[in-house]
Amino acid sequence: MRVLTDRLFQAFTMVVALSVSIILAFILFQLIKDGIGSINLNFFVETARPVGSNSGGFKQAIVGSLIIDSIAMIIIISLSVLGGLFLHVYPETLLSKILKESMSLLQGTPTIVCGICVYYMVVRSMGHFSGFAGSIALALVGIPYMVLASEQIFKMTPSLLVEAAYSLGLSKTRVIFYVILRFAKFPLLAISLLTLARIAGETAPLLFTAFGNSFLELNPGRPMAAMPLQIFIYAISPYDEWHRLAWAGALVLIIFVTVLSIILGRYRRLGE
Amino acid sequence: MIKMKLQDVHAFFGKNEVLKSINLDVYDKAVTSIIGPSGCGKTTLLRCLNRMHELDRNASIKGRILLDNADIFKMDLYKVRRKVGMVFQRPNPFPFMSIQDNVLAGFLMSGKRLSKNQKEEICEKNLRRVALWEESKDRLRDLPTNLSGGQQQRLCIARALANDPEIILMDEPTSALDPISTSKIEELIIGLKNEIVIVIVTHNMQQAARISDFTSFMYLGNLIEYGVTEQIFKVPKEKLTEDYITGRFG
Repeated sequence: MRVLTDRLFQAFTMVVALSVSIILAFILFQLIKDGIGSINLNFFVETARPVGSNSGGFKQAIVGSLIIDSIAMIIIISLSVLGGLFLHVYPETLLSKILKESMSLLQGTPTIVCGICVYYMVVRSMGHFSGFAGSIALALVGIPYMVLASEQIFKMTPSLLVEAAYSLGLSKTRVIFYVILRFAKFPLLAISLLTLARIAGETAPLLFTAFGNSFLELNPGRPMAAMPLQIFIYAISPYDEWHRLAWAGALVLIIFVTVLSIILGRYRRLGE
Repeated sequence: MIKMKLQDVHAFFGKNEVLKSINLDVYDKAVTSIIGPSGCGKTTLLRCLNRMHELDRNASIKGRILLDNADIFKMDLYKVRRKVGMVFQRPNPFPFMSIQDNVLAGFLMSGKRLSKNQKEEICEKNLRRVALWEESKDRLRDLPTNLSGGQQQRLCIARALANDPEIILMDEPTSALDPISTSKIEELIIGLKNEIVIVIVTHNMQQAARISDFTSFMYLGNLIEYGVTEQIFKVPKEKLTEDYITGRFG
């Protein structure tokens, strides 16, 4: 009976794993089939063009995403590491408990809500859409995830090392800088990449904040294009040519996330 | 000469009293060992001596501990820990620092600047003190994880010694080591006792008899007996000490 249950369970898990793999393979196949044809040099060096001109690209969206995501990651990493440290060092305080609860709550909040909040707080007070507002919206999506992950990483620091540092007469600040942060260096890098992979594909928070732009814009104080936004705009358009570009954009985004995952795997090994 | 004096010391974890009215004198240029069955408070007593006990959020200490007649609870906490160094049960070199940087950790992590010559000098001197220089002089830039367990523990002792402490506390420093590494650490302790005060917690009674000048026996948070090692092992005054030493319990 035990052998039968074991075999049944094995078969069930195999079917589930296969089903998920088939869906993933189908998505990848569709992306490659419809996207690969539109990926050429023009895709990377040309900005968006009107329908019919036949050689538009994603340059403004790629550059926009790089700028928006970089600013977002600077905000996310600096605030999250500090937040995670606070949760780790002062876990019993009321502020810690409030911070942890709000991070858990924010983690489950639909990302479009983050976009709307930033729209009311930043876009309306600035009077216009901007790449910077997009970065703040993406930071709101990434921060809860990274604060909670950082806390877990700091908790992993072996108490033996922390005690060794204290026994040498070091202050709490120095123990945090020289032992806890140093020990957490690689896991923090890995989790930052994971957060970047997560926010890089977010569209909803950018709809009301960065807004999008058909032209190359380097000033984050102005409306900016971004990869997921451009894919969204092309995908809901009625033109086949733009659909093909949307597929190509999605394929590039997937490749970017895959490359990040490969780097992440390497950092995981380094961390170990 | 008395180096450290404990007067009516009580230690708590929350409301649980784990050390009950301990009175103990630690003598200069001597090895003092603390023996007793598991859970009797040996490690807690040791951790009270450099206020490491207070690292635990629920922990507290009552009473007086005098270091050269100065109350350690009125001294700067970090100064106490620099004067009273510690070696732990399991070797714990910093895995992200080289062997040399581990020896110099007390200086590097506290922001003290040292010239290249000073670094080399301190490193060599302390590695020689723990008899690790010959084995490690060609790989000072290597990570300490490449060393054996016994070598790592000697490196930890060198790290504690480099900080120039007046007392070193050792919490079962050989319990995770093989007999050869254990004998090397024991030789090291005997060699060091002319320079520094050593207080060692050990489960191994033969070890206490071999290396220590004074021995204290603890049971259920009480210091049952304290005296010269030879007297404790040959003619204990207390029945409990005799029973423990002769293996009737523990």
